[in-house]
Amino acid sequence: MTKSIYDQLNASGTVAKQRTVDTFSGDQIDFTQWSTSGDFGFNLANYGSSEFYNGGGVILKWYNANPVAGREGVLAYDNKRQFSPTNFVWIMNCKWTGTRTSGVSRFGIKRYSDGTFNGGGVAGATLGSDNAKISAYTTNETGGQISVVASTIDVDNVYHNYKGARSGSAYTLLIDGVTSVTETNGYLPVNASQPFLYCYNNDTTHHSLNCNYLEVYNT
Amino acid sequence: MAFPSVYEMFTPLTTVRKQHFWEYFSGATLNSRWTTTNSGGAGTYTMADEVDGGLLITTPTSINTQQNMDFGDKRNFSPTGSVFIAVVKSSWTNVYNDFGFTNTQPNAQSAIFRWTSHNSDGKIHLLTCGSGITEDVATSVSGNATDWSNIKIECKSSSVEGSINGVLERTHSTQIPTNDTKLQPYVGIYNTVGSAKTCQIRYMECYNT
Repeated sequence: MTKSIYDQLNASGTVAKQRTVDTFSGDQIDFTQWSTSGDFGFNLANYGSSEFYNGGGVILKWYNANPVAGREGVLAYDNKRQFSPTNFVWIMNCKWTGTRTSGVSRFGIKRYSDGTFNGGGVAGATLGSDNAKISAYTTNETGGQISVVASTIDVDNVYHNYKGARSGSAYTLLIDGVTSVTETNGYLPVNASQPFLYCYNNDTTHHSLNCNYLEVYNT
Repeated sequence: MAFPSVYEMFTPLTTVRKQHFWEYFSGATLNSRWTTTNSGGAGTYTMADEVDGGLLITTPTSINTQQNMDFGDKRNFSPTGSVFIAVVKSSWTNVYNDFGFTNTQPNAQSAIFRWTSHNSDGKIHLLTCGSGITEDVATSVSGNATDWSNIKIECKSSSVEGSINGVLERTHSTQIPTNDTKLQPYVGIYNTVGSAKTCQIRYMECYNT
């Protein structure tokens, strides 16, 4: 039995590429690693408490009982972009809570650490108002080139495992290791990326995104 | 094979696992577990905005400056039963650039790989140090400013083994850390010229065996 994580993940003699893993456990999110952007009422979960970790892993949720329409929040890596736009895998366990009219949550990797999506170089997934189904969400870095490709699974309020992967021209989102959806419009990132978690309020009702595992690596 | 836990990837539940840490050097800034020290001038320790870039350490542009990072003398690792693994790159020319285990510094109770153009053989060296006595021997691997390398240093009961890219390069059996000391991970870069020098590290793992 090998004793190192390195040898579990890499063939002998291989120089490993960039990887990141976060289990989102502990007293608070690691702000040496994560940056925040947007109207970060989202950074304080559970109706005004200072808990980032609530309901399993990290949670993005409006901070008090009165969500404000049109507000958004992003967790990312402060534009430290170490992941390839063409050869990557990201894996996340996420749960969305809310009704589809209340807002949208997206996660995966993207070019910018702020709320830029149109022209934002995104390769992710979307839950909420973008589509009634769990969907792959990708954009090019040209305005208007946004692709939302639906899976066969309805958006729900339970945890799923999501895996986004690209090798060359195709981007595939795999849900719970079984259901896959492939981006077909060719609207894909072209520059280096970083992990992100995002929420946007459509109206004044709550919705939220939990994530209890994140892993991204170059292939 | 799917493992039920990270713990069980390496250790059965019947075994109490020893100290083990790993770091991917990815994110907005360097994790606060690290202590950084500047000598002779302030360098920078930033996450590289670069695919596969990891952490980028940059020296000042003045000569004889040194940048170190370690665990602030929180030394969890055994001199006679531990492993250091890292993926690193060095600017090589006009630096002394060290990666490995130390007690406090490379020239006292240490086991490190050293990148420097100042050795005439042009090779990466394995340097070990016991009680003030140092053994510094070239590997077969040429140093340069462009290659990323996977390095592994294993401190055993009576030897230190150094491997590069999966190949065992050197085994030192004398002048190695003594069993009355403790070790911590260490990265240091010493600038021997009046221009900025760099090193990068995108993975590190240390554990006791």
